Amino acid sequence: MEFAGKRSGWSKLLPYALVAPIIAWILTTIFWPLGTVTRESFYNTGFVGTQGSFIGFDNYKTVLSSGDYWASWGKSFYWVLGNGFLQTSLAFLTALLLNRPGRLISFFRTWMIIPWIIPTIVVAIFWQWIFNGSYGILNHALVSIGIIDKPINLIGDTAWSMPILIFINTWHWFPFMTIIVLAGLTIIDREMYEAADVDGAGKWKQFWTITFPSLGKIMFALGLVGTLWSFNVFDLIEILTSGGPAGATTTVPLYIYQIAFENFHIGQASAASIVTAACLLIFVGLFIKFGSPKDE
Amino acid sequence: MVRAGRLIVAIVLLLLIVFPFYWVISSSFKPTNQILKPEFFPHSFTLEHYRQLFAQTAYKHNLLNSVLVAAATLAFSVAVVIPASFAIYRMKFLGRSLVFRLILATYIFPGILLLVPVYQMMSTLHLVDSLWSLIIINVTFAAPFSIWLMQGFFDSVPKALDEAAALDGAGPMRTLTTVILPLIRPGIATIAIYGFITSWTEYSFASVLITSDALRTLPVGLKAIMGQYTVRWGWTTAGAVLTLLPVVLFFALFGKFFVRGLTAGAVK
Repeated sequence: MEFAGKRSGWSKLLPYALVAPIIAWILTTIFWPLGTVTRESFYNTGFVGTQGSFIGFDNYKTVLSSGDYWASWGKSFYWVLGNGFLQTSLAFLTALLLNRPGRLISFFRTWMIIPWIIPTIVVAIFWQWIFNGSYGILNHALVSIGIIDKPINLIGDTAWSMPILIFINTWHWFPFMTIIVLAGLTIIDREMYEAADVDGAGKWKQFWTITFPSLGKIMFALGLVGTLWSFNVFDLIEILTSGGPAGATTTVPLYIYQIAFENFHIGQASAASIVTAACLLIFVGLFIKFGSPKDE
Repeated sequence: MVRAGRLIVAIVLLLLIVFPFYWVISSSFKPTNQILKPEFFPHSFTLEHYRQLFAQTAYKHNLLNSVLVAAATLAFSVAVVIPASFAIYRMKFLGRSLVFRLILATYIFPGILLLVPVYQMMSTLHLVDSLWSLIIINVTFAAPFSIWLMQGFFDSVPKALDEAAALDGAGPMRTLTTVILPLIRPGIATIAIYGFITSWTEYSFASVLITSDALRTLPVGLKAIMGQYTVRWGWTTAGAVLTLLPVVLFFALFGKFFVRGLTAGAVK
């Protein structure tokens, strides 16, 4: 029985009263700003707090014809694909190692999530300290074993900054992915592996024929949510490179931020946000249409 | 052969996770004249950087602000999530799936696209440069995921218990407080930690919504310390250690529930 027995007015209203606070909260903090951003995208507002005048679709024309905006999409593709590949690989590797009973294993299962829960600023400091171009330990190690002759500032290097930032972000996020994959692994029926052992299937084959397909639903959710979350990353990039050097790490969120808070074109930033949201919506639609796992 | 390979991979992964912690923590205790030298094992130990961090920077204020915002986020988030989860997972009402979908959509919504309009909204409400603005937005980011996490915990309480309570004449609210809540204490701990951590680690909105030095939270304050004194690695590493300490302590106490809660929520 779910509480629906008593049909008095109060008990009918109760569930609405219970969800009201969170709904009000979401409407205020998401839908109100969504309304504002839509409206501002048609105004030539500059600084925050000023009011521009209505200019129709001009902001959209500016954004859609801006080479910098589309270049930031290129960086975002690189960023999302790099993170997706690296995080998924590391998460599977870790999850398969930890998917067995044992006291020590269970200790690791809890504590390996630690890189995910620490603040991004701390993650940034960790790796900036290790990768530092003048006295970082990595450069020291590479020089002393003779791989490079003189230290390189990896984070500030046009070619290296993106892969290095992807690595750092992966370090921050793969533990979360691992937990989700582990959760998926625990629901796979052990007997399937036993049957495969009897049939003489090797571990590698078992992974691709049993483990991987069984995780369909979870991989789908991870693919969707993980892509959006990676796309969304702003703080790590802003702290480490602010989008530089020379725009090498200016992904879409960084681009929008710079237009709004550094170039003071709130209107254009709003139009860019709307176009971006529309692209993401299309991605979500396509992903759900073509990526949904089939129910057997 | 397979065993040895597995062991090597495990050790590499372990080092990958542990080394950055070790390196920053050990650096923070090295005297200034040794911190830049890449010595793996420090041979002298000092608390100088920590002392200076408290005495000469805004660290104390940043810490207090972060604690206030995180505590309030935790409280508000638990206060809105528990009743909403109870209604969504335990009651039938028209629009239930719509509410659930709205909350899930919020959870995957790219919040960064709201940075500009949220700033404008807070400016309209005269909340820019107020800690309230951070509390409000942190709850928005913490609550939807927390509701998702609660599903596993609510499902673990048999519905038969609700029925028994109803037969004894308990109304829904009494059932929630006397039957369900005591049984899902680990779940409450999980969403409380999640709220705390979300707020404690938040950087983007805190960097835009807070404009005065006195109201900065730790991550933004630490960025300022780092930017102003790029050479002061002693302060930067000590600040990093103190910033991650509360999260680690919190996690040491409740981490088990947290990971279990994540796992329970994920398989749904």
